[in-house]
Amino acid sequence: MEETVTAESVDALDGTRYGTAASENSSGTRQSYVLPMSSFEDVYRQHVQSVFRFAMRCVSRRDLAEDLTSEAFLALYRNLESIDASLLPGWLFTVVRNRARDHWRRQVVEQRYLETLGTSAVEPPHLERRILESPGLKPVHRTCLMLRYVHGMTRAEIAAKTGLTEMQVKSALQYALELLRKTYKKADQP
Amino acid sequence: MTAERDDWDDHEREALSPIARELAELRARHRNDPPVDLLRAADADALPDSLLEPTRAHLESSAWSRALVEGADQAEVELDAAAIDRLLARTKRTAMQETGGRRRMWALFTLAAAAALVVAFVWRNAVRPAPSTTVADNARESVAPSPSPPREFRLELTKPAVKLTAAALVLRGDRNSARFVDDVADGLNAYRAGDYEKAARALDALQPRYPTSVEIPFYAGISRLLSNDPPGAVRALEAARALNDDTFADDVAWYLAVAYERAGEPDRSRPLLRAMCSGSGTYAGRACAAENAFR
Repeated sequence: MEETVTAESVDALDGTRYGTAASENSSGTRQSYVLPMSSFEDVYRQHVQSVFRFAMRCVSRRDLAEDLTSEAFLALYRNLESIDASLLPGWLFTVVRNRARDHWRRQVVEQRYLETLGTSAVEPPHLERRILESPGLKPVHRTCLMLRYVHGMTRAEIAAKTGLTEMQVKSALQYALELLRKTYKKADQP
Repeated sequence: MTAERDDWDDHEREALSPIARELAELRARHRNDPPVDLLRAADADALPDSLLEPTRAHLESSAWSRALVEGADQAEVELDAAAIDRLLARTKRTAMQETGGRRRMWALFTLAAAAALVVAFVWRNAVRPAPSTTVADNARESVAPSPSPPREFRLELTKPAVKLTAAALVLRGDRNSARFVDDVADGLNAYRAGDYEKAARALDALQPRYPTSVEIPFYAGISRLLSNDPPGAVRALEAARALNDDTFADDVAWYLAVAYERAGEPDRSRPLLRAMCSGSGTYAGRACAAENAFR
């Protein structure tokens, strides 16, 4: 049932002082060992994509998500001596989350959003139900459609917010629009 | 979030003209919805408190906004190989600069300390007999940084893969509600992805609805262990243990022992280890080894 997440055991160490992690020997005693730079790189390559994806969720901007990713691994590097390797990648996500909170603290969020937040909606109109419930629409297509035709964003803006390329946005919109048109045609037929 | 502009091309205009009135209605309805980036950040628990609670409340009440977040999160976004290498190089460069800066600072500090000791040595020699230690010894003692000892635990923490009891596969929360497996998917997907804080939060929210499902307190407990919250893990795993579920009994016992040790209560781990060691379950070998180590 187990999926081992502790860092791999390092048998031959060169004594380079970069940090420590832990492994367990046959007697069950946890031992410290030094993580050389090559292991830091292994950890980086193992987790960088998931950390970056999480950063995109937190800030919805590729450049900023890259910054947060880099900061998280820098924090890992600084704390290699005290970090239990089994806490990764959750520890990295926590760094990203805290940096993202700082980012949002610095943003000015328009008051109108906060005033209307949490208000309960009346019965959604027909078109809204159709968009939300259309089984042929994949979630990502649906989001592109909503952002473009309801929230008035350009393709470039959608690409920037989601991390997709403009080409991917364009093709998602074409697909979604065609599906919406077909649905309406079918509904209009007697 | 709605802009009042419309830069649709001819194809889009033609396709949307039959529903122009309904679309205008929809745009008006969602004009003041929070921006998608704010919604996504709330979903990832990445907002300061002043924004988090109202935005999360909005998300809970708006299927539209939830769909926006779901689609945006499912976009296949990743760094290409060049970006991965570039970020690694940047991280290493910054780390090296910091290390270099610290070394320079230590060197200056060492020089200053040595100079002060030389002055003190000369002054002492002028008034007293020679000291028993050398200047170099004193300097080393005064500047040697004391390494912080790494945390050491005897009980290994590994991430258990997700499994469900047979009962969970057919369980429903109440009449007409979604199945348990659908409800629990968010929490377990976050757990699988390593987002342990989100996993714990999502699982906690399900606890009142599924009070007898061991999966919920068990994975909430493991999530807390993996996000470095041992006391929280102890509470959740004790709740899991109280449910006496055979499928999870071994796992609950082992991870509760782990949680006790990490919460600073290793004495409470020992009876659990002893019981596991005397049995033939999955963790028997490790429990015996750990029990010996505790002695």
